Amino acid sequence: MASPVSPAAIRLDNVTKRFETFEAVRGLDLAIESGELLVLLGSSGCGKTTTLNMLAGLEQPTSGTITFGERVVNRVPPEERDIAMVFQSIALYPHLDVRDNIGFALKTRKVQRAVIDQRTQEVAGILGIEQLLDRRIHQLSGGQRQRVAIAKALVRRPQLFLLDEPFSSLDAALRRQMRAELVRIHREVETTMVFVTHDQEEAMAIADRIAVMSEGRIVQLGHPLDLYEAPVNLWVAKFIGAHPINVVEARAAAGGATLLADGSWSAPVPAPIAARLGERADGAWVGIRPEHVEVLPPGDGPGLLRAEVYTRQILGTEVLYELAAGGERLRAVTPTSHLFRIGDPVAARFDWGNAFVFDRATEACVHQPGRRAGA
Amino acid sequence: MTAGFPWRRVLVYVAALLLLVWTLVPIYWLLNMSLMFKPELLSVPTHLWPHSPTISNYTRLFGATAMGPGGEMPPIGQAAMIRRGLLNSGIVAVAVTILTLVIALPVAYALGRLEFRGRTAMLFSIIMSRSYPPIAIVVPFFYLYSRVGLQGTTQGLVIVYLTLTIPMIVWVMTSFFGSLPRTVEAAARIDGNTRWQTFTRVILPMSWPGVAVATAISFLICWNEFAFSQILAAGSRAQTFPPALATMFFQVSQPNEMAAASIIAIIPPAILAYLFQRRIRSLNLVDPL
Amino acid sequence: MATPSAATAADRPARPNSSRLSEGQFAAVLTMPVIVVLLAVVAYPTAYSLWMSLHRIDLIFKRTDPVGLANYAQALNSPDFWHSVVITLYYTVLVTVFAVLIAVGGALLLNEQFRGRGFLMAIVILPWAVSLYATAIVWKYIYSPEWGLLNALLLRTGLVKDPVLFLSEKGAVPALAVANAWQIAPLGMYFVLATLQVIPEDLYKAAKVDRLNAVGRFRHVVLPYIKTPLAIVMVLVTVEAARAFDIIFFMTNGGPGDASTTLSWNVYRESFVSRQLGYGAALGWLLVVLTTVITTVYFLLLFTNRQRKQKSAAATV
Repeated sequence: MASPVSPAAIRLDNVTKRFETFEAVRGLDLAIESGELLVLLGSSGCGKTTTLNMLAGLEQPTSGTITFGERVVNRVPPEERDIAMVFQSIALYPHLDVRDNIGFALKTRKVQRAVIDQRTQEVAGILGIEQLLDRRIHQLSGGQRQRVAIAKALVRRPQLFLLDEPFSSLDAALRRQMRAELVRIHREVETTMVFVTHDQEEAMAIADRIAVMSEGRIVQLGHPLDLYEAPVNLWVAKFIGAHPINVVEARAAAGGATLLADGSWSAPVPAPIAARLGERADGAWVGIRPEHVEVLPPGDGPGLLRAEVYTRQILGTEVLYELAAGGERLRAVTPTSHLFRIGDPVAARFDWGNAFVFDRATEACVHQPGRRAGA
Repeated sequence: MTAGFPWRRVLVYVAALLLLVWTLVPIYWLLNMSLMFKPELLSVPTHLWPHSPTISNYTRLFGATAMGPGGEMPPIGQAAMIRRGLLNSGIVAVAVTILTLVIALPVAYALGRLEFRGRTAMLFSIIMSRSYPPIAIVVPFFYLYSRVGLQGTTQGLVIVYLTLTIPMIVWVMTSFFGSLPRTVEAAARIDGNTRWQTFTRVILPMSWPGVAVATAISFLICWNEFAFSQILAAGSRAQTFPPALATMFFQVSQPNEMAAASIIAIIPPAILAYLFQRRIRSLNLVDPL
Repeated sequence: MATPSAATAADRPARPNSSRLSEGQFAAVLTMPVIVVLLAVVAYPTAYSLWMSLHRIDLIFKRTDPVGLANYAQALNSPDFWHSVVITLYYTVLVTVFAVLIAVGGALLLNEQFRGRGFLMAIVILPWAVSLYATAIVWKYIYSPEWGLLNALLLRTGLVKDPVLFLSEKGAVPALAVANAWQIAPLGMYFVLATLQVIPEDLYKAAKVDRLNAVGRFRHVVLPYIKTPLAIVMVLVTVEAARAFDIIFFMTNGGPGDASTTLSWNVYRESFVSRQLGYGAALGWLLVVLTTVITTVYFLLLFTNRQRKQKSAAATV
């Protein structure tokens, strides 16, 4: 994975972590490039936090090796690794004020007072918290606390910066703002960062690369748009994307395909998709994102599906419909130019240029839309 | 609720008054007695408040003479013994409390925050060691002490008091440490502390409110203990305040003087309880699990 | 900012410290002192007392003769022993009932909003801070026929002509129990209050919407919440009452006669007045057995009750 220009700063080779009978991480291979912001993304129990804890030294791998640069660090305790970490539960010391919290790690490492003061001032500037330095932790708001926690981590100038769901206890607006700021800070300090989250939107928003994890393994590693446009399998396709992807059964048929479980809809499909379906006697899954489903006034025509509006949510610039058709529900996100009401008969059309095909047995992606240039 | 006579409010205030009376009146009565001269105390029925109040019972306890209705009164006969008892109580309480904190805080930290085999069994057996009745445990101590010469010594008292304080403080502090945020250790380690430094430089400074309560409780246990000191040290130079008070109580019947001495016994714990009542309420002394 | 780090701890050679230990090893180091101390001051005396209970010990001639279970047999065949067990149970039940009534009543009251609540809340803990021996002195003077508060009030109101002897043969145990309950109730009150305060406000509102009266609200809203804490308070109070010593020492000395001679007072009398240390140790063990039985019964009641509840909950699902 490591490109020749940015050598891997940190490598995990075949790392496994077992707790009693439970295998949290299974044979993980990962090369983290110097200066990148890598997101470990997955639902709870996927092993992302265990991986982070092993990078921190808070857990030791059961087998495999973790290397920082040239040095194997499997058994190096956290205080001897050159790392900083920001926690979900904002681990600031309540008995110290903001300034002493930020300087605590440097003081522990016996850095000179003057150096601590100068660096504290510097990171406080970066995070815009100069005026808070003499406050107590309990006097701060949630967002301010998280800023202090980041400052506390930054002041160390660590080799590796770990963030464990740092924004998940903040409200939605603040969370968005902190994400944007984190990206800006990352550009400024160019430290290698590993960020753990279960929120795909957050991962997409900040990552240089995302490692999607499931059951202790990395399912896919790549640029955020890669995951969105070229998921390796159905699971990743379902996991990534603001609105859950539509998945319908499909079979090859004369002039295209029959779709839906009851085969009640037939539509002409592009040749590559027809070919993938044709190779599979019992059909395949077609995946299409709600953004790529059109909702039209009722009518008949090639590729049009008769449906009825089941639910409707106005999101602002867009409308999210749930359509009932052939005993199934399809989601569609459309512009607000034409509003349908619940119960209205409509026609739906897939934008086949953006459809995926997944094998039924392996759930692997066997067809994906042509890549956009410059992705 | 229908408008009309506010029965509920009246009921609440009546109940509050009853609770206040129930709580304070017994102590008030002791105070009342301690502020009377003996003749007034003996009037029938006894006055509900001192008609000619005096603090002579207190001053005479500390070795002063005082003028009374029947002329000058000498210091209270047992004054020296009482003062010696107060001093001993203080010495024992301080020594026991320091030892208890040194021994109990690390184990409470381990029980409250670390994962290790036998954790539950250890917590259980430490708590169970509290369920052994003191009057039963004092029997072997009495015999052992009589054979090794620890009877009537401060060291002997300190040792038995540890059987009371350690389980209690382990109990209280285990739940206190357990209530600290989950990530404290991780953060402290990453900030460059070893496991031991994490405990001494981060956890302990963070826990000062809990440690303060533990100190107060340990002090209270020692100060208020009677049976051990009575059985193992009564009449000796190491005798603490309560057995001294018992001697005074059973020797001569001067209830006004006795009441004054008892008020002195109550003052330090009352102050501690008042200072820490908020924390005692949140600490849950009854059930740490 | 991307300069090499100033904190070069990672490059330093590893030196031995507490971080080289695993979490379990570190925990072992921290718990070692307490294990040693408790072995020395609890386990050893406990074992020693078991040994003593199997011997006849003569303090004057410094002789110990093994007598097997004779001390226990003597106790179990002694009417004095059984009398003290009965008194212990009587005393324990009274203290528990008084203390629980005060604790629950006080907690319900302090859970209300009224002026002076904060002050009252701070004040009610006072009896708990007053030690048991001081409590005994306090109540001795409440009950006293010569200068007691109760007699002062009774005589003043003309309800009685002559002072009442509260610490009489019949009155001693209840009188002691009231004093003991006065001292121990505040702790239970705080504990129950803490539980009351976590009952969601919405539950009271729902109960009012459902038109439950105060009794119904207590039964269906409050009681389910405080059941378990209440049982815990009861265990605590019972065990404390069963080992009462200070109060009896100061107030009645086990009397009049042996009217207030509980088992723990019996242990004291036999061990330190009669100097029968072996017999006293055996009685001590019987006291341990008694308190253990009481706690076990409580836990069984609590546990079976909980199981039944789980079963009925499962049935409704």
